[in-house]
Amino acid sequence: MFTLLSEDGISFQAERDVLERSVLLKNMLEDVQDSSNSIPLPNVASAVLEKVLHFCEHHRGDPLPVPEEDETRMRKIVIEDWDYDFISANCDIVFEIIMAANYLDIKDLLDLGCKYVASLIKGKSTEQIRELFHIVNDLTPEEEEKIKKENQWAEAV
Amino acid sequence: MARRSRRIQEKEKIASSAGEASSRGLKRYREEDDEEEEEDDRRRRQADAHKDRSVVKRGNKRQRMPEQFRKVRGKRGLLERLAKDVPLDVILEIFAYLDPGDLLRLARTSKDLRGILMSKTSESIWRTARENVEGLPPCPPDLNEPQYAHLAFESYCHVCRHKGRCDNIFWTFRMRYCNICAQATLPLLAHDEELQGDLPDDILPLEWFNCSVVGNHEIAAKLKAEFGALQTEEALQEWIARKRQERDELDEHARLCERWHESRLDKRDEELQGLRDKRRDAILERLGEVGWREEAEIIMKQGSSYKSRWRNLFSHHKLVKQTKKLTDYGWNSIKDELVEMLSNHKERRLEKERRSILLSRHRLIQEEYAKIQAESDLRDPFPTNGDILSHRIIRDFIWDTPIEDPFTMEIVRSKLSEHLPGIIDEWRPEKIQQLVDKMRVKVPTATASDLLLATSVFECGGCHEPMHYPQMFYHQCLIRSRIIDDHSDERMSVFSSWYHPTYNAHSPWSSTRVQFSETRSQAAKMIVEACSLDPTTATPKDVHMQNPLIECSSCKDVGHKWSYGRLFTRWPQVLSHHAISHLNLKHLSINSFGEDTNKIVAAEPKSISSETIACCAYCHKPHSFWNLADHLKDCHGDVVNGDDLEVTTLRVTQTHWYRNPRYACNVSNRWSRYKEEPAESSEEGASAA
Repeated sequence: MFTLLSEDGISFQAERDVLERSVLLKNMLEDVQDSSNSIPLPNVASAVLEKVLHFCEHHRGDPLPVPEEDETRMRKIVIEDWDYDFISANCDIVFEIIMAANYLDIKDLLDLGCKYVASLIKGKSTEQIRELFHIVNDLTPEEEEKIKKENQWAEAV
Repeated sequence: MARRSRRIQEKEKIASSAGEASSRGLKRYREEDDEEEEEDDRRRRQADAHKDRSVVKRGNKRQRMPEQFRKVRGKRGLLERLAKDVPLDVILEIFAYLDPGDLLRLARTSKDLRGILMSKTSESIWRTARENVEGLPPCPPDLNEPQYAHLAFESYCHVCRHKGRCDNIFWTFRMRYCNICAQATLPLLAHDEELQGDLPDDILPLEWFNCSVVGNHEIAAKLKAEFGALQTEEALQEWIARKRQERDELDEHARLCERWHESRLDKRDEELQGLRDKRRDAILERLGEVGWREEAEIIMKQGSSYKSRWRNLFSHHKLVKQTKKLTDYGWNSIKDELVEMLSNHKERRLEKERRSILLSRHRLIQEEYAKIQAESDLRDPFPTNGDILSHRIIRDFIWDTPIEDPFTMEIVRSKLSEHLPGIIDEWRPEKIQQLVDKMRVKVPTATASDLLLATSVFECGGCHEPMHYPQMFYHQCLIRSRIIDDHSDERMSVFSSWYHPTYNAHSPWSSTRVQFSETRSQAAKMIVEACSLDPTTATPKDVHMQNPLIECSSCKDVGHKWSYGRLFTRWPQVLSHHAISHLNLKHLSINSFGEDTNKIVAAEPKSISSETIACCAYCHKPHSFWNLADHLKDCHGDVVNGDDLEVTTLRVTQTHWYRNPRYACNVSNRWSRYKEEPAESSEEGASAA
């Protein structure tokens, strides 16, 4: 068992195969022989780390995703049921999870977060996106009309 | 946290150059803002704290928004964080799942996001998004990525901008037009000579709309301006060749786009249908848990009564046909309404089935009763099927037999044979008495036996058809059309509202419309006496056997040439004479034609009616004179003398048959015209009218 220390000083224990879902931790564990030493994670809060470890725990033993060789591949949003339930249940900290997954380099969790956010945006109208994400509309009606008509590249309105 | 992640650094080796360029572009844009970001962020938070009060309030109105999701957005919007905190490669990762339409709509949400997405440096994001769309042709050279996205994905009319969906894409015009705008703004090539002007052929882009070729004024004007500015023949030829080339490429691209668009619409329809089917199946499963699945499946199987099978009430219910995935929350919010709908449907369906069963019982009894009636002696009044069906015993038999119990012809037969004699015995004296009461209005001393006399002639208050007893019990005006209307009984009242007066359904017999005809009765008496019969005892059959020849002298020589002659008839047809005022001695002559008699008889029509006016005296089955003799010979040869079967004898003597009381007096005998010989001609002439 290894101990992880969150940004806010809370300790979490996990087994090696769980922690090795993270490329960052996997590399670190190769250097750490003594499991009694805590691994500090200064960028991850305890609430987020708990969820991340929950995800890794669930996926322990799954084959590790390999980096995409074809970046131009068709991207489709397909989310497994457990993953969907997990991410939607934690949608209030989805960005923290995304950033933690990015920091810890947990590709499947990062993909899940990105897909989830994309799925929230996909197919929605401008007004629906604004409403969903509470974006304040700082465009005047005239600007909006102009934008709709022109669709030109623009650095600013 | 680094703006670019460790993960992407490892991926850089295999990342495409386009993506990299984009990242660089975005990074540059973002790094310039980084210094100001913290300060801006603080300011914005302060401003947002004020704005968020209204935001949270608005958020609360959206019931479907998860509570925990609203909490985080109360402080800071998800996308705002996306734009400010998340590393670029992660942003790119998210954008990579969107299509150009999503990017376009995202870019229109705020200045920040527009700043990111509408930057020329973000072109690769758009390109990636476009390449993510299966089958979409490349961006044409005359459009930039957002313009192309606008054309391909913004599904509203680009002219009126009405919010309704508009799938009319005029690819070569780079516009979407709803039907109204297309009609109003696009000139028809055939009707607008100015549209083409002096432009050479095959240069102006054209489209099909409503079976006509249409153009676009703006595009035409631009081309005409270019064309008009050409100075030299060489430039002209070069311009024409280039524009024709462009037009070919435009058409080809438009063709590919159209194919993509159609397949996208089809796919979308399929996807939506798939989602609807999934939702429907999920609802069915939930309904199964609360015991209502069966009813829903019945609706789906049968379709509704007023819609075709594929548009049944359940699958097309507003709560079912949606494409939204069914969640626990969603189910709880629709459950009550669906269960209520199914419950109401079940109630209506069971009531309809019950009515159908009750109606089939009515018809079964009616059918069986018709068979009994066909084999009965109708010379004694016989109840109508309406009398039987509305009788308390039969009515209770129909309504009180449990719906699930068998109700077969055998059971009906048994019930009728058990109760019919009693019902008839109860019904008959009552109805006869009603008839006597009618007669007593004119003949106060009348008794039931007087009804049998040839001199007791009644008539229908509706059609004024003369009738002898018991013809009035079978006269159509008195039993037809009026459905069972016994509103004093709740069951029959309900039944009458369902029952359509078809299927030979008769109303219960009523004497209301029967009248005693004094004039016709007097005429009958005159004829009876002329036949040397006793009016106080002679029956219609007695007079029929005398077969008196009767002339209405007042009806001679009337009308046209075709009706020229003297008018003759027989008993009882005479009683239905159209001029009731002629039914007296002043007008009628009876058996008093001397030597002309034979000629008159010879002129009478010889044809035999095909109506089943004769009932067999032995088995009571009705026959026409065409087959009565054969029937008697074949079925009752043991009791019928062969000599009696000679046609004339058989018709005049009612030994082996009796007049079918279902037919009134005016059937069987016809009025005939006897044309007297002209004085100058010796030729005999007689014709039947």
